[in-house]
Order: sequence, then C-alpha cells, then structure tokens
Amino acid sequence: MASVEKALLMLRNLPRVALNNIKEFPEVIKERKKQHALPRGKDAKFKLGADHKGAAQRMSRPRLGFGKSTPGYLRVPKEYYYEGHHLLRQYIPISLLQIQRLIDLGRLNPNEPIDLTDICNTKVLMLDPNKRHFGVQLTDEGADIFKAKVNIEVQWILSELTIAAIEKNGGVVTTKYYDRDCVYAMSDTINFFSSGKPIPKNGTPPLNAIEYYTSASNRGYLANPDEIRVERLKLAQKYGYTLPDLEKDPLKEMLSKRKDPRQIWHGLEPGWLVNLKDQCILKPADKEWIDYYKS
Amino acid sequence: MFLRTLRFRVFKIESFQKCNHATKTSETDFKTDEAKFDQIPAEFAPNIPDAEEAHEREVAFRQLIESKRDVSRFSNKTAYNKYKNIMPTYSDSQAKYLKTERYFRKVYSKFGKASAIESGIAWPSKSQLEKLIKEEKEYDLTLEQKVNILIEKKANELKTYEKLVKDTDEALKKMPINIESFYQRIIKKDKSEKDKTAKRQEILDQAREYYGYDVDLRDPRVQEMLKKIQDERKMAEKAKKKEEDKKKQQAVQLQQKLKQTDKIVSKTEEPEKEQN
Repeated sequence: MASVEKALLMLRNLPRVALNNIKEFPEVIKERKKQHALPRGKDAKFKLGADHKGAAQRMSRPRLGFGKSTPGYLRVPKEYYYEGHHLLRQYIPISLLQIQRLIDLGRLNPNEPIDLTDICNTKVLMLDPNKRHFGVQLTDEGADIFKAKVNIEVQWILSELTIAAIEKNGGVVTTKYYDRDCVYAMSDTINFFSSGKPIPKNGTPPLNAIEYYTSASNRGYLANPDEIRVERLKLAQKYGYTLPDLEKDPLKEMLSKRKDPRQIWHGLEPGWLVNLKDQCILKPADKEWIDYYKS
Repeated sequence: MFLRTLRFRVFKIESFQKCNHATKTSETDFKTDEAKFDQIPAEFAPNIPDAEEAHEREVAFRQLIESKRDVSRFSNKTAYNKYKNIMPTYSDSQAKYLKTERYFRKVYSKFGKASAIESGIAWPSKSQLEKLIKEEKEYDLTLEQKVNILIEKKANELKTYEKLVKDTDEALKKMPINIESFYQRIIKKDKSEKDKTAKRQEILDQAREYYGYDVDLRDPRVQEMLKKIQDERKMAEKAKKKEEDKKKQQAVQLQQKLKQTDKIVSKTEEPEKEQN
C-alpha cells in the first residue's frame, strides 16, 4: 500500500482544499465544450452564419424545416386504424328525404318495388363499382317528413329510425347483398346488356357481413321472417306508432315481393340472356348449365 | 435516298423506272411487276426472300411519301381510311380481338339474329363451366359453412368470457393471502440486504479501527489482517459461550439438587405425618 501511504504523506503537506485547488472531471468539461462548440461538417451549412458565396450569402437558404428530413408540417402520420381501408366495401348514402323527393317528382315509382337499378337510373348518385362501391345505404335524414308507402331494397341500414319511418307508413324494407359482378350489371344496365353476357349469379355475403344479413333487426334477406315480425312489433312499441296491418292492404302483392338470394331482378333469373335488339330472352337448355345457374 | 442499293440485277432496272414515276402510286404498278415475274426464265429467277424485302421496303417508302403529302390532318388512320373509303386493315394484335368471344357477344347484342353469330357464345363453354364449378367448390364457402363459422365464433367468445369470470372469482379469493405474502417478501428482502450491508460495515469498521483510515478490502494484506482480527474475536466469542454454557449447566445442576432435596425433605416429612 505504498500509494496510500504516499497519498497520506502528500495530504499532510498540501494546502487546504479550496475552490482554487479543485478541478472538474474531464467528462463534464467535454460536455460543456460540445454545447458551446461551433458546428462542423454537415451541420455547418445550416447552423453557422453566412460565409461568402453560397446560399447563405445570396439569402437563398431553404425555409424553416427544410433541409435534412421531411419537415414536421409535411409528415404524414401513421394511423394504424386505417389499415386495410383500401380493401373495404363502400356504400353510398341516400337519405329518406331524397327518396321522398324523387317520388314526389315522379322519378321513382312507389307502385313497384324499388331497387338498386331504380336508384341508379335516377342518376342522383355516382355509383362506381370500380371504386369498391357495393351498393347504397339509407340514412335517417327526413324521417319526420317521410310519407310514402314503398317496398325498398337497400344494402345497408345503420339506424332504426329509417326502418321505423318506412314501416309506420305501411312500407317494407329489406337489406340484400350483391356481388361485384351483380353491381356492375345493376348500376349500368344498358352497358351490361350491350356486352352480351348472361345474367350473373349472386354470391353469398362475405364472412364479416353474414351476421348483418342474417339478423332480423337489420331486416336482412337471410333472416327468419318470424323474427322479423317480432322486430316490427318491437319498433312500433319503441317509437310509438301502431303497426298497420299489411294483410288487408290492396298493394299486398307488391309489398310481399321478395327476391331469391341468387336473383338480381324481379322476373329474371340468373343464366338468361336478354337481347334488346330482338326484344327476346334466351335461356340455356342443357342440364349442366341449368344446374349451375340454379345452384 | 432515292437510289436504294438492291441486290437483284433485273429488279434494279425496274426500280429506276419506278422512281421516275414516283407520283403514281396506284395498284397498277404492282400488277406490272408481278406480270414480269412470270415472264422471267428459271435461270434468272429471283431470289425470293430478297425480293420480298425489297418489295416491302418500297411499299413503306411510298407510304412515307403519301403520309407527307396528305394534308387532311387526320390523326387517326382508321378515320382516314373511312374518309377515303379504303378497306380497313388491322394489325395482328388488333385482328386477334376480332376473333374473340367478347367481340362476337357484343356484335350479337347489337344486331341480334341479323348478325350470323351463334347465340351460344354468350355462355361459358363446357370446359370453362367445369373449371368454374371446380373453383367454386374449392375456394368458396357455402352459406351453411359461413353460418356455422359465425356460430362457432360466438360460442368461443362466450366460453372465454365465462372462463374469465370464473378465473377472476377464484383469484379474488386468494387475494388477501397474496397481498400478505407480497409484503412479507419485501420485508424479508430488506432485512437480508440490511444484514449484508451490516456485515460488510462491521468488517470495514474493524479494518478502520486497526489502520485508522478507510481501506480497500481487496488488498491481500488487508484480508490477512482482517482474518486475524476476526479469528481473535471468534475465539473471544467462543470463550464467552463456554462460560455461559458452564453457567447454565451449573444452574441446571443446582436445580436438580434442589429438587432432590425437596423430595428427600418431603419424604421425611410424610412418614413423620403418617406416624403422627
């Protein structure tokens, strides 16, 4: 322990410890120097004052934020709740007010069942199946004013108010799912008939939509009709109106028209070819084709 | 550029003649060429690949000149041909489309039976149908399957929920015990740490006593000195213990003796009492 003894000897002979005898740790000194040091290298361009020539002298340096990385006001944040939005189905909204207006102006016929094709032919909506538009959804704007008695078929309904408003007036609502090929056919029928294809077969809804279309509260086309009757009663009690009796209705036949799950248009079956020039319908005769289109 | 190097002697002469009559671009010129081909004897018969190339080159050349001469400003060739009532010519890639089903379907939808097309073209052919049916079987799920998947999902959700409720109930019963044990563990830990530090501090104190200042314990000399000190202290402790044990033993012996004397005393007293 010679070092310790030496240190002790030194201590006896050295002067008293004071501020003028003390030195800081070298790491702290380095840190301090860094803080007050001039920038060198790549940083020098942006942080130092103007040297002669160059962007600084000519006052043509970029504005705050520009330089190395994308500035904060241009960065697009990552919002992971939008993941997969480019693959989701879209339904264009149409309100009860619009439908009432179209009926009043004579653009929609309430004496016939109202369909996607009818709504698209009014040219009120811009339905583009290429943009993943799978149909139409009803909104409850105009539920106070709705007076028409209709048989409507829509693709999605969010609020109960719409259903209540339609059923109060003695009408009928259903929600039905249409495949992509079917939406192509329904949205632009003239274009479809001029292409010369037979009427397509509608598919079953995807997994994330089955719950919706099999539930009676949404009036899905795959739901149990007994449950639908119960739901109609429930809504009438909730919103405070008497359910009109549909069996004594003169328009009972029209209101009770429903489509097969594979069917697109009333009166036309999948697999038939419609020719507008000859004004005729062609049907397949071979068994395999008939079975395929009826399955 | 007017004079093109041609590999064929006989044709050369005719080409010169043609270039002089470059303005005329009617079909008659081609017909005369073909007639001359027939008259040529077999010895001097043309080398056919070269002749075709030359032919094509001249055709392209004339088309070039025509395109520069026509001032109609038709950008579309088909429109130009329509205007001039020329038969349209489709390139190979364009002509393929005219033999496809899609085109026939569209023509049939436009003209009906008047177009001499079989209406059966609109439906898929047999092989195509078989493919479609196969693909549907493989990849598509039927409605029943989808509904069953839904039912399973809901049942699983219910199960997990019920399990959760059960587990929480059971765990809550054990909560007070767990809390107590948790605190006890903390107390134990603190104790053990304190004991360790206390021990360490003892050793440091012993060294400091001996040397007079703080010392690094890792030195071998220090450890030797410490050992000696500790041994001395242990001996002292053992001696103390021995003394204490001795005292205890003496105390125990005393008690035993007392008991014996008590017994003797009681025995002597009893027979006296009995006698009395």
